[in-house]
Amino acid sequence: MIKKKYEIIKEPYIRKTSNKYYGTKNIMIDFIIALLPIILVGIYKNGVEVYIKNDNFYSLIHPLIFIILGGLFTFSIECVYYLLFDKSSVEISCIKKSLNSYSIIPGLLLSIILPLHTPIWILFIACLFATVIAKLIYGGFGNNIFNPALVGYIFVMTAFYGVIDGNKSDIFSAPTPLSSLNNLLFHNITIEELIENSGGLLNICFGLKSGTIAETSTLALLFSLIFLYVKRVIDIKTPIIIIVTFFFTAFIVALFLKINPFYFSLFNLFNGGILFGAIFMATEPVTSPRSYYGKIIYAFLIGLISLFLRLLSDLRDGTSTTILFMNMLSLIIDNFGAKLRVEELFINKLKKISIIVLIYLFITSYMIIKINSYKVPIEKPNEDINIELININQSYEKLKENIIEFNYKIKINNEQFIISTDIDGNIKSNINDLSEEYKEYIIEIIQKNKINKRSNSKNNHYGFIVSTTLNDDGEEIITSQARGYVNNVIIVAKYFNNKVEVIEVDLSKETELNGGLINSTGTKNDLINIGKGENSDIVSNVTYTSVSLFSARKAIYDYISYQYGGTNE
Amino acid sequence: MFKNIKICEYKDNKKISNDVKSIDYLNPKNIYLPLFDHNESYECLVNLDQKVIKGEIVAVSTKTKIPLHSSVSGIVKSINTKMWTKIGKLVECIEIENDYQETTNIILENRQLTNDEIIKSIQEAGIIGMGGAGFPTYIKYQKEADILIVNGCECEPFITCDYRLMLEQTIKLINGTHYALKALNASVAYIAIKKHNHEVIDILNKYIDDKIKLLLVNNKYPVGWERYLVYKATKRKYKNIPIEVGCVVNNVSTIIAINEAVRYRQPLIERLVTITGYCLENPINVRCKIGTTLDEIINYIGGLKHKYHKKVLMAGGGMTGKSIPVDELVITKSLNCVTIMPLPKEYNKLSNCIGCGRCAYICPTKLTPTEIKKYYQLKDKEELNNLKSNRCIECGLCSYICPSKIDLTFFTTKAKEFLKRG
Repeated sequence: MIKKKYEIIKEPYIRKTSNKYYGTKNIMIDFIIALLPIILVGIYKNGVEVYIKNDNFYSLIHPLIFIILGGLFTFSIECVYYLLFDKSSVEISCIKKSLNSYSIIPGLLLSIILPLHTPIWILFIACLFATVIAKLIYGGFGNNIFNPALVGYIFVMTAFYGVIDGNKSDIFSAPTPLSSLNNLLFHNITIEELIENSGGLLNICFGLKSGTIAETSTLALLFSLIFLYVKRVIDIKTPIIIIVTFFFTAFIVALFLKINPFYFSLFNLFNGGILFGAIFMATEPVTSPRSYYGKIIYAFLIGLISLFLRLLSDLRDGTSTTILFMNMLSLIIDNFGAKLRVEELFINKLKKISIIVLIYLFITSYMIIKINSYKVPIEKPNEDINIELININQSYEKLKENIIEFNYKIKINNEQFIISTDIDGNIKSNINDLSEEYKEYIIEIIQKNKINKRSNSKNNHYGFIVSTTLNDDGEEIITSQARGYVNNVIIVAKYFNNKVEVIEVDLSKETELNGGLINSTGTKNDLINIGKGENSDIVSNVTYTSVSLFSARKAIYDYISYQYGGTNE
Repeated sequence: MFKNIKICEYKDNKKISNDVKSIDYLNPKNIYLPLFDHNESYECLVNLDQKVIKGEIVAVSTKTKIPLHSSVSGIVKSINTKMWTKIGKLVECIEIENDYQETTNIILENRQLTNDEIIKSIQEAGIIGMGGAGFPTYIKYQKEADILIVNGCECEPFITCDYRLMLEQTIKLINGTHYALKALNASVAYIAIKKHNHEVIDILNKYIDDKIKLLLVNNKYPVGWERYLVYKATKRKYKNIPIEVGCVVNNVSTIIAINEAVRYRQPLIERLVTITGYCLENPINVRCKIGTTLDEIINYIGGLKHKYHKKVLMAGGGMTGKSIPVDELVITKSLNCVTIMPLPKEYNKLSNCIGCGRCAYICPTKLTPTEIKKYYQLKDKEELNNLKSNRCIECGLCSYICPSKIDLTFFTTKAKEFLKRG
């Protein structure tokens, strides 16, 4: 009898992978597909809209090229690496190996999280670092400890920060909502003002924001999340727990700091990279824990620590750092979670859970105490005295004598005073007749609202006329100035024959701190149009700079209408 | 509470052998009785060339004293022939050549027995768990319990022998249940059955009374797990064995064997085995003698299809069945199914663990297979203990779900064995 030989396989025979739509490959392809909504919105916002504004064809395709290059870089770097160093299996070509390790993903993610104005060579360095240092030397796909894209990102953001940040292609040093957060915490702007500056709560939640492609649209992220969940690519627990922890902790912190908690936590949640990080970075399977409770603890700590870093560190957005930090801990958390899950005694379970709760309480209370100690105390005025600044006007009479002087109209207990000051807020008018108490308040309110000081009061964008010169042929050259985000913006305009014409817009001081590298993409007339506040910005929303431009322009028109009784505009 | 999932692959797995009436194959040429089964060795009681009759005890287990009966009459040819058994290893067997005389001293008599006599006759008949676990049945009956669960779920794909038994031997099942209830002093018996098996439910509905109830479960895997059934029927949870909370779970085949043993004093020498799989010409349930080799049965029922070049033989269903390289597989008491399937494409094309955590998510015992695999490869006994590796029920779901085709069940089972070896 002939012996029938059977193949030996490991049980079970039935595998879900026998379905050709199930497997590692499909998971990774779905992951790439999930990036599409974000990429499309990013291309629209940063490519199409810019193209409509300035008619430069390159700016239309720039985001697309940027993303494609990212993927191409990591892919080709892995190809080269396998060609040079991997001699294990000759029959598989290096291109195939590169495909099998899904090398394209770190590159795509990098190009999404890096600012769009990053030079291509920095993108290349980021890709090189991500692929070789963070992935390949650990043994390639599946063996890396840290998220490759984040390692590359952190590396170039640390090493080339000046180059990346100074090379903005948009003219405005747009303070993204997050960079204004410091003002909220350490100065005395209110959250309502902050949200108003960013275009309202709805805009913050679902609008198109300035920033990298990843930060652009919450709605697109939501689509991606739903897609990833439906396709079971990621574990839905992780993003949800991150978001809930983040929101809840921000809520508690705001309650203790006596800030509107809903506004504060929503503002923090929808700005910056926390949502993108929660959906695409923290769920990256290789570097996150595998065990059930491990995933929960991991997500919980990410939510907590990223808020901690955001509020207390110099980093603009702590999410990426947090995720890398947690990547490092994920092996320990994995083991911890696996044991917690099989723990039989309730008391032992409780002990382990209490460790996490203690960490949470410690970090949260530390945050609250620290921020409270930083916060400038707001002195409350005496309740008996009702003091109010009604308006500030430039004195055009004095301007004729080439003196810049301002009149502050101040109301104290139904009594009105008009106080004149110079540009630095030194009081010129005689206030000796007033009582000491009133004097103190008047000085305080003038110091708080004085022109040319960077503060967060409404008047810090106040535009005024610096000088006027009347030419022989009847042209009047008017120079106006307003305080911008960093320094002054200056507009020089010519008034002749009932027409205003802008001669020069000087923003060089405003962007001085950012390296002074400006690649202006607009013409001077564009700037004035922008300054009108209509389409307030090409890339970002209302910014300090554009508001200042608007004020400076307004000062010119105010002056002209005072002098000539209005223009024909 | 307890996770179970619907297995969507091979949807017609039960259908191919469900509707065919079971047949008998009771004339094997030789029988082989393995001397090691379910972590227990058996002591051989016969010599070479000794003549044995049907129903004679030829071996007895060392610890639990379970007798092993000869299922045919004939001559002992050898007491150390190496044969494959369902545990996936070569095991020494007693080989008995059949003389087709069927000489026996079994007297089939109708008896009325007391509790202790029932338990004694269960032990004497050599009954062990016939659903696969092979746990000695009489030990379960030594303590009193109030609930008996008759497990007819057959949640594992491809197995249909319990279904056929419930359909063809309903009376025996009901009688056996009554005996078991009497032996346990139990108040109620639940017959666990899948919701969609309407034929069986219709038949069993006739016998339902105060003492026997139906427990309908979903068509998911692993609903046939003891812990799940006990929880489903009584909402009780236990630590190690169900008797702790006053429950006993028995397979349908076991209950029928109890009926035969108690009523007719017949030892366990036959059982129904599902011979199924896409590679067989006629997948069918076969009643055969314990010790028959599989190749004889396959020849008897019509052989293999020739269109599949490479095949896989599993002693068991599609999930827990161990792969066996030859078809001289011995039918033992706890082997309920043999599945012969074509070799899946790219079955060994592993990729790296992407850490998705599906294995941990799906595990019904809440283990984390990736961690267990890691510490098994490091041979770290303490960590494996901390991770409660011995809780694994070897259901195979972790390997089933793994998108990277990693053999997690294999490693977890190995870790369990490693811990047991001490």
